[in-house]
Amino acid sequence: MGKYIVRRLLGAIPVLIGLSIILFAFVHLLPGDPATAILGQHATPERVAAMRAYLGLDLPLWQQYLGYVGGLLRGDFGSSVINNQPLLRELLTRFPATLELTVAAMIYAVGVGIPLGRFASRHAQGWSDGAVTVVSLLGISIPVFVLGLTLQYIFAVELGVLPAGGRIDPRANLHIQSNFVLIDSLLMGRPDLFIDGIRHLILPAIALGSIPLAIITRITRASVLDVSNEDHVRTARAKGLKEKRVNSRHIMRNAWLPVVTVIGIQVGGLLGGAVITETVFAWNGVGRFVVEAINNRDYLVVQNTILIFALVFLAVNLIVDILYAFINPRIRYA
Amino acid sequence: MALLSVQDLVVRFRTHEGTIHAVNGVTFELEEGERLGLVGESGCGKSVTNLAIIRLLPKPAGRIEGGRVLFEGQDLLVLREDEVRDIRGSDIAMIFQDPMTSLNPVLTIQEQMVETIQAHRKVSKEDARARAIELLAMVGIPNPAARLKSFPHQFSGGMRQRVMIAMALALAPKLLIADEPTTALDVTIQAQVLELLAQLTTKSSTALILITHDLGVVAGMTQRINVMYAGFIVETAPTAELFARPSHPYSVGLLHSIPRLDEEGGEELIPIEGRPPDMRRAPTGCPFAPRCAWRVEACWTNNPELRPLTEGGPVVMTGPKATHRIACHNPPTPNEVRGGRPLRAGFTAAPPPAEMLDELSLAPAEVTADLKGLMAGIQVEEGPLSVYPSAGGLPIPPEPERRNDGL
Amino acid sequence: MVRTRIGALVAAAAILVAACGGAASPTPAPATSAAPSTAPTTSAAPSTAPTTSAAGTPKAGGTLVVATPGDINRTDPALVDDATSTYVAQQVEETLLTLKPGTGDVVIPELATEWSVSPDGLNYTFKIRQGVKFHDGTDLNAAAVKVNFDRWIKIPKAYVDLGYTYYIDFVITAQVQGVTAPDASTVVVTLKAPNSSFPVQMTLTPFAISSPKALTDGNASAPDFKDNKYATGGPPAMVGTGPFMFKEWVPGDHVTLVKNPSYWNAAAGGPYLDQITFKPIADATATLNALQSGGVDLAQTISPVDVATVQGDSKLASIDRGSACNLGVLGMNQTHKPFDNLKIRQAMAYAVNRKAIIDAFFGGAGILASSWAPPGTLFVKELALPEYNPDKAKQLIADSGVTDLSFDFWYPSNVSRPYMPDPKGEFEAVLRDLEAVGFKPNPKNAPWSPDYLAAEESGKYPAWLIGWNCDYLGIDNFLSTAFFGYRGDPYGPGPEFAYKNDAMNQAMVDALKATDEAGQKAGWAKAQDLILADMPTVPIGSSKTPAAAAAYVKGLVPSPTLLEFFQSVWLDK
Ligand SMILES: Nc1ncnc2c1ncn2[C@@H]1O[C@H](COP(=O)(O)OP(=O)(O)O)[C@@H](O)[C@H]1O
Ligand code: SF4
Ligand SMILES: [Mg+2]
Repeated sequence: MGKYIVRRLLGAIPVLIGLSIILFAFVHLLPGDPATAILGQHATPERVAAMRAYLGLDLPLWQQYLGYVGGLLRGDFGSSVINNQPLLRELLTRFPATLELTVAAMIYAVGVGIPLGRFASRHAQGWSDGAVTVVSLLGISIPVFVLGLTLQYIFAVELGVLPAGGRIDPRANLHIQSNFVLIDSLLMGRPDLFIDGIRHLILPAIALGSIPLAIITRITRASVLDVSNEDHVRTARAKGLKEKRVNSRHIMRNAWLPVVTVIGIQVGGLLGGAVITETVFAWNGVGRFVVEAINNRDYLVVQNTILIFALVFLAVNLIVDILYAFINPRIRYA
Repeated sequence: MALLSVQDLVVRFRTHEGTIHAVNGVTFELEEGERLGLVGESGCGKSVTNLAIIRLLPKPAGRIEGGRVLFEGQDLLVLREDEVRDIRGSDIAMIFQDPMTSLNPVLTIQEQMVETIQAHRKVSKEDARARAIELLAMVGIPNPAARLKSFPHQFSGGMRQRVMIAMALALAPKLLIADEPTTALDVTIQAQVLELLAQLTTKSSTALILITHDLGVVAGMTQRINVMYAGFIVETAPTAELFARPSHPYSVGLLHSIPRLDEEGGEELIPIEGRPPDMRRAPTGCPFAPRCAWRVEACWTNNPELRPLTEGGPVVMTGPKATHRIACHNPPTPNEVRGGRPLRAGFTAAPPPAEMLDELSLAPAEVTADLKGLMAGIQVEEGPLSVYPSAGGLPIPPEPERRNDGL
Repeated sequence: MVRTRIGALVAAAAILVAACGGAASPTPAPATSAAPSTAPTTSAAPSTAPTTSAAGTPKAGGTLVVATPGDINRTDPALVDDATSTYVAQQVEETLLTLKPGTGDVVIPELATEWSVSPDGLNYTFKIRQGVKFHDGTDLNAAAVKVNFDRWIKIPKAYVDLGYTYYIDFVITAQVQGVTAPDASTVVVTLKAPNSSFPVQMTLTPFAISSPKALTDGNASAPDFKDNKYATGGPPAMVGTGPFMFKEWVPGDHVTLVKNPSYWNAAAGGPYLDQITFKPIADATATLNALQSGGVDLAQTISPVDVATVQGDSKLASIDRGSACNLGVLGMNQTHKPFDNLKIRQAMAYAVNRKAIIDAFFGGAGILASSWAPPGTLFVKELALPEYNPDKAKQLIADSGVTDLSFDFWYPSNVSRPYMPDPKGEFEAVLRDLEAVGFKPNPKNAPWSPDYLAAEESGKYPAWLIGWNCDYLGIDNFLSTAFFGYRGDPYGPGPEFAYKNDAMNQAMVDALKATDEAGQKAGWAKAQDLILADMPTVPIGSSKTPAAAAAYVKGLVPSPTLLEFFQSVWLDK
């Protein structure tokens, strides 16, 4: 198992090197000069030169790359052009928001997707199965921002039952400590704000979770159907086990395996969805931070944030694979 | 009263492609401790018959559409689900073909054995574990206490089948159904596992239904054999009797098509031409007719019943004295049995009636093609009859060419 | 993020002014020293203008939640140039002079009680209001003001390199020679060259006066910006004298301001709100949804397409800012034929149905141009711009004697600007109009940045669509800085339009140099008349920035430049 993890970690290195090169190239392939792009078209040559120096663009390309990678290795992800703050710190203050959102989205996607998938598999080929399939196809095909705005319109504007955006009622003056709204509200001893935080989470979590929900539903359905047809399930029944136990221990324990893999991939994919969801729901997370950086032409921030996204993605996948190995003895004891 | 009495069992699958007539009125009985072989080509309904007995047909397609299954006099088909569940694994246990897939890969052997015991007996986990160790030792697994913690993939195929046997016998069932228990194993392992099975069932006088498509397997293991074809029992007889005097053209074909370990030149076989029928059509005549060299005109339209080979006297359903019965309009003569083909001068298998050919041509192209191939393949060949002795006394004729387009 | 400016035209104004003082265009100083103070002066505190919302007795209390299209960038007004950062900062920190609420052209005193300019136009003397305290309890006085000017003058180079000093660069660095504080209530700012727009520039939020103590405590001039707390959220940060005090900035999430209980100008009414929270909502539809669901009370900007929805919602009120601070034009370059010909340029102006374009492409927020600066700009003149008249255009073409009427006509892709919301649509409409009178434009397009901008800036396009987002609502910012001021080396017309008229340029120079209102007015009027006669470009129109608020938000005075003060705002609920 330890060996397995080490192997996986080593395997990530070429991926990261490749990625760093691609992202590095990204800034250099942009049409026009980043310094000019940041300063605007009418900037004087001295100002452009100064900005180029600040961005390190005045050095030979290979030196720039080595400097960039060297910085990364020292944990220096550069700083934002907008406020000159270290990027890592900026990301860390926003990360809790994204984490809260993605966890909520995942709870929604998993919590609804798995029962729905199991339900569909039980009624395989029936009309209710068909309905689940159609709904999950819809979930995949509706763009997140359309879904988000629609949810806002229905539940916030028309019905007025949920807030349209933000993480907490701005009038509530939540004292930010951990940046996790749900934790900070409890730290303040304000269960009412905790509930308000949950209310703010619902719509963005649904918007963000819709695609994973659809995919998890489908994979659960398929996986449960697959496993149900396996010989060992028949064995379990032939042993006289109760149907409930057959389902939980024999079907689900096995059906989980592909589902967990897919959940892992989806968690990574949520980062992409978060960019849009956070923009639509005024959610102060890492995703919106990237959008702002793009708008501000803060290329280094965009470049390195994407790199960090990739790191998180790889880490999540590694964790999921370890988890997978953990629930799958065929890998654990290989 | 017989331990098990299956009466007119009919099982069908309702699928998108149509209704599959998997089992078409099967009747047989089994005494306590008796060992019955169920043989026939793949797809002839052996497994379905036995799954129906313990009501584990794949849902929702598989349906029992007729008959009764009396176990100790109680019709299993009318029991509530929880009542059959109590019988499953406890009074009637089952072992399946592929030990590689029949155990749950993510649970330890211990978990799988303990849950079986605890499903039927109110015992502590510790006691169940002790029993599991005992069982593993019984089936010859070395160091059983340690091995209990292992996962299925950590065992070899043979060992896994031993685990399956241990698990099946955990609650001392009255009936053990072993569905092709050795088919997936290496030949050398096969013998060991069969030996173990025989030994354990004999010792505990557990009745056994041994399903196999391999006559060699049932020969030494069973007291009686049912030969199945297309969802029908076409011949039934005590094992020795069947090997000595196979009387249904299909049984004859089967015996001629298997390699015999115990003789030289055993690889020279007469395979049965063609394929089992398309089970989507309810048979009108004898289901074997399209492949049968002995068929007469009536065979195309009239499905023969299972009748004693020699008339007279009451029909004995079970035991060593069970009546030898076959379902055939034109049974082969002993000479023909030995020759594996009709030897009557001038005899030609009856061609299908014109209207049936038409009907068949409407069937999927594949079926028609098969049939045409058959028509060409079953020309009676003239030639000297040589007798090859075999262990069961069954003479096996040489076959000039090996044909492999059958089974 | 919405920026108030198109890009950093840092040097243009400075070059113009420098050139005025230089040898290239010698200008004699006024011979006589006229009245020492010709600019309007008053010692009375400014009073808040009547609100556009329904009248009523203001109620105190409550929190106002304001949606902004982006987050603020920094918490130091001196170091920001975007609309959101200034929108927040102007509630907290005050400037020496300001604009009368709701106007773009009435300069009134704020932290200065009066101001005057020396006859040579170089020395501006400000009398500093007494008895005013910063939010940290320290006193406002001349020394404090001088500290601020000195900081701007000596702003660390790193800040300049980072691009944080847009306004300091061209208002302070390029223009200000030095600052003195001869006594506790007097500050004298000496310019390098006369510039009558200086008072208007002093109304800009970046020149708000911060507490010197806070600047020191917050390390506001730290050579390395990373050490600057004042600009990065503090504490202390954004410590001014305004009706609201900075409480916190959670980057990306919100900025919170709270009421200043001892505001010096409470006599004018307000502040009424206990708290203001600014929340960035980038998406326009999400902003509307937040407004409609009550999550926010006021949206600093909404999309023009949503104005109708807001008007149809009885719980909301749409806010019309009256004017705008941008202008779109049909550009022509006189080095390219046939635009060297005046009649042809005039024919272009008559050929284009400008009103139809405003109606079709400006989403109901358009204002038809009446000069080369938006209405409401100080000294802008209502000109008799050609009205749509194809026959007149044809006649002018005939009179011009020009026979080759073909030229390349460009529009940008991948862009939408306030003064040009739909470049392609607008282009096609203009194209049809031009063809209708016999022009043979050859349609061309290029991506906005960098191709289009670089080409038009260097004079490569004969005809094209372009415009200007103001730095501030000053006529010089449009006429001179953006369009026609002579610049550079050699001193002369810029290559963009290649419009040469020395008299016109001189009129602008004179206007900037004039120390009296009459002189300034005359100079700008003359410049506009000359431009009209030469018709170097065809001004099309501006688009206002619409806003919306919940109906219970009262007392907001809309401003064309978003210089809106929440002192007068109260909640009627
Ligand atoms: N789940 C199922 N769905 C449809 N048809 C089935 C299913 N299981 C078995 N059958 C059909 O039933 C017939 C008998 O199958 P089976 O009893 O498994 O044969 P075997 O004699 O090889 O054990 C075959 O024709 C098979 O195609
Ligand atoms: S002889 Fe007729 S009845 Fe007998 S097996 Fe052949 S076809 Fe069937
Ligand atoms: Mg089978």
